[in-house]
Amino acid sequence: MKKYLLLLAVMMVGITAVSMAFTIGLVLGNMDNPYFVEMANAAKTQAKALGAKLIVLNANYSNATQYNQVEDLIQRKVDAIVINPTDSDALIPAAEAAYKAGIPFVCIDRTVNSPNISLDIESNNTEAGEINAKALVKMLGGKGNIAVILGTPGLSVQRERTEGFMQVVKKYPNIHIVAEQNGNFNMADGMKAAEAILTAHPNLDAIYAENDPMALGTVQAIKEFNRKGIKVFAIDASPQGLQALKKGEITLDVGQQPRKMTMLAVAAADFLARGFKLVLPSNTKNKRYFLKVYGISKSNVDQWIADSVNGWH
Amino acid sequence: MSKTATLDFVKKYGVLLGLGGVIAFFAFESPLYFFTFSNFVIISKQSSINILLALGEMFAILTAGIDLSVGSIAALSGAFFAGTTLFAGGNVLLGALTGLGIGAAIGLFNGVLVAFGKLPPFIATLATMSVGRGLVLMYTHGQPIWGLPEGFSYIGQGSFLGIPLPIIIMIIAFILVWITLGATRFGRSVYATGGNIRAARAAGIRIKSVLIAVYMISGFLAALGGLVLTSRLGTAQPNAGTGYELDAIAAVVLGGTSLFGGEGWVVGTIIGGFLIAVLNNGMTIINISPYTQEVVKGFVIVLAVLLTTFEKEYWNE
Repeated sequence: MKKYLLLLAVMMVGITAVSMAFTIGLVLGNMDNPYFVEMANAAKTQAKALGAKLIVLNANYSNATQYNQVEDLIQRKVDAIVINPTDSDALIPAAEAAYKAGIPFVCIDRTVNSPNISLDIESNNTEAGEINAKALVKMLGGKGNIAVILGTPGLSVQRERTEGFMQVVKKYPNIHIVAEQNGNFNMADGMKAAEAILTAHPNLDAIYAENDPMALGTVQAIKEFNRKGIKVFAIDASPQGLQALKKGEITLDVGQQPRKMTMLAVAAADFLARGFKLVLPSNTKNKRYFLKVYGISKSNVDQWIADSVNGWH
Repeated sequence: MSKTATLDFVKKYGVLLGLGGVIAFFAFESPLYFFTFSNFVIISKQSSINILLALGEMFAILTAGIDLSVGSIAALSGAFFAGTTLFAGGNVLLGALTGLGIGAAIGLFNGVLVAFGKLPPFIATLATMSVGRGLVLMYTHGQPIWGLPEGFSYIGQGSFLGIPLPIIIMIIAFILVWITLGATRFGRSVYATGGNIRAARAAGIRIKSVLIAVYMISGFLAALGGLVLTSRLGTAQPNAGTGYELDAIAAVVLGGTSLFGGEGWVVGTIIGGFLIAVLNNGMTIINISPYTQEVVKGFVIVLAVLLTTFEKEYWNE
């Protein structure tokens, strides 16, 4: 009888050990931009290392879909949620719901404006705009005509990248912003905007495009018009963007760290699910932690690529 | 002029007047940059993709149907165009044929769903739109396909006798569609199916075959648009063509084709597509705020369509 009791005890320990394998839900805002696809790849690597099960969902740019997906994950009783919110305000109810259910809710790349999130890790997008603006001002010697191709209106990423850029540029009265047009963060629209801008402005010195697809569209348009000497500034440092940078088609690209961001977030989510308390770095404000961004030019592009995984950091 | 003749006149030339007005406005605002030959070449190139999609869409709408899958088909064909070209070691022709074949195959699937499955076209093509977009993401893993050979860019960026190829492709497609709809038995069957399906059936038209052919043509032309788009960008983007179905439908309706089927003018669709492109280009050139642009575009579409529907109701009473 004692033998059986022991066996039972062993079985119970075994069952507990198996059920300690946590399930983490990763809800991405979209999966048709390589930047976010790489987040899914990094999360898979990290979850595997932690022995956690990962569920990846794609909200396809829709706030409502993403809220539903968070509710589904709560229903499914996942142990933690890592989310790239489609919007900082629209997902507040989702964060509250996770909080009520006692499920850690970690944001990546964009925060949710609720005190009840567990943690937010994002790129410093304002800084990304600033780095581009400073390099641009320096290269143009403080004077020239420039154009801005904006990302999708209404997204916080777009606002921050524009603000950071404008804060610097407006200090230089001889830098004239002759056009500000929308490229919706995609290549086709970026190219269309660049074509119209190039048509309207024969004396253009530089174009700031707020992400790589739009910058690559701009490069296509410049080639089509056979215009020389227009400097292109971009953000993302995607593999395709870096290739254009090496060829000299893009002058400066600001690199973010989607892999690092996601891996930190998945690890934090796993620790929180285990009931550990996180000790956050001192520069974390309101649970928001900003990862540094880096200006990449021809001089340091090879090092950046050498240090990357799948072309990303 | 008789009532019907006047109605026809307004329906046909209303959009042309609209286009003239819009061009005149932009020419006044920016005579130096907007109203130039080179800018009209750019506008034609930009509009060519939407017009190719719209020409196919027109077939579906003429049969009182709709094809919501054209944007997804363009993206999927573009992705297979790029993917196959790379896979075949730089064989652009094989890539292009694969892309076009994929488009026609999805069109066939749409046609079968509508003709034999008796699904409303809105539902059938809504489903295909979702399936198509999912297949694009599966095929590309959400990553752009790039590093394509020089020849890949020819369709979208090259020119023949000084005329950019996208414009040549658009003109050839226009002529073929014009002849098909205007001068063939099949074209008359398309109009008849949309106009009065019972009468068409009684007249011995094989409705099922007509519908299948219609959706295949729509899929094929969407694929052709996808090839031009992909080649123009020089890379296949997983989110390419998102929302293009709405621009295509807008071009067809602006051109005076009735959403209830049975009536429509091919030239109108071309003008409608051109009008949308002129609006986009002109507003960007005179640097109108991107927020305002959306509002203006919406109102122009409403205005143009109101003109035709009001006239129609007035004359029908």
